Amino acid sequence: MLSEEDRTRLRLLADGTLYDDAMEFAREQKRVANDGQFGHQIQGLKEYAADWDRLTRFVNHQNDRIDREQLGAYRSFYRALREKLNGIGETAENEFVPKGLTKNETRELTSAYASRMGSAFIRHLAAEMLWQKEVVKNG
Amino acid sequence: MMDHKLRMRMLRQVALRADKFYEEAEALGKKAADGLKDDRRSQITRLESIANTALKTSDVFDFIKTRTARHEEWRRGKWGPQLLRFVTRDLKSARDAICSTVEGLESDSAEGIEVHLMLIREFVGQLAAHYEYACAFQEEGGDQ
Repeated sequence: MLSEEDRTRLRLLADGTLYDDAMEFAREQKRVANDGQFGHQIQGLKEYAADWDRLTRFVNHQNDRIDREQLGAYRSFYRALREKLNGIGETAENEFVPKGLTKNETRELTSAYASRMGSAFIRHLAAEMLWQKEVVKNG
Repeated sequence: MMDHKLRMRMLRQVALRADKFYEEAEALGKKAADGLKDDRRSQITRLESIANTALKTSDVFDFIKTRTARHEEWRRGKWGPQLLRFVTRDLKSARDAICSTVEGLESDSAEGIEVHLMLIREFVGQLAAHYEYACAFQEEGGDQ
């Protein structure tokens, strides 16, 4: 159960750093929005976003598919996204998880906080990339 | 928990700013009526619902972006993009102005988020009213 203070900190992150980071990420990766598979990829990310473990497994799996050259157009996108999610995981552990816990406790708590942060980032990213594709690009 | 006096000062400032939204809300309400017509009233109802229940301003921004991207009637007359610009820029500036006016309020704080959300709710409420009014005149076929 999250404390009120943690909920507030997560809201501030979602509205601040995570939103700004998602905007920047979308600008840097806007090329993939033109790909025919884009809608499916974004939908997949949104489906897994609420569960940190599933989200990271999905992104790692997509990175493996890139290496097998099945998702070439997304090379930059999924590599950058894996890096971003790693950063979110580190922030979750460093900023929210108390020191001195067991490995399992640390992993569980990190997962709980990272899940909320990752979910917010993916929602912002999906909305912005859709916006860029359908509104900005098409005028 | 916010101090009662601070909350009252915040509410007063939001109300004062909201009075200045009328023309923008009227213009956007008319555009929304032109874009959505009156058979898409549920879109405005959904917008109000999101604004009134959101705990983060980014929830409202993401909703507007997604609706505008997916529904051509949100892009007709560019009212969807104009709405997004107003809530992300103009109301953010209004939030900053309120927070600099009221001692004890910081833009980058939970209270700052609350101020921004209050401004969004006020604006969306006014937009919805102007949308309904514009639709009523469209139905009657008369001039406003």
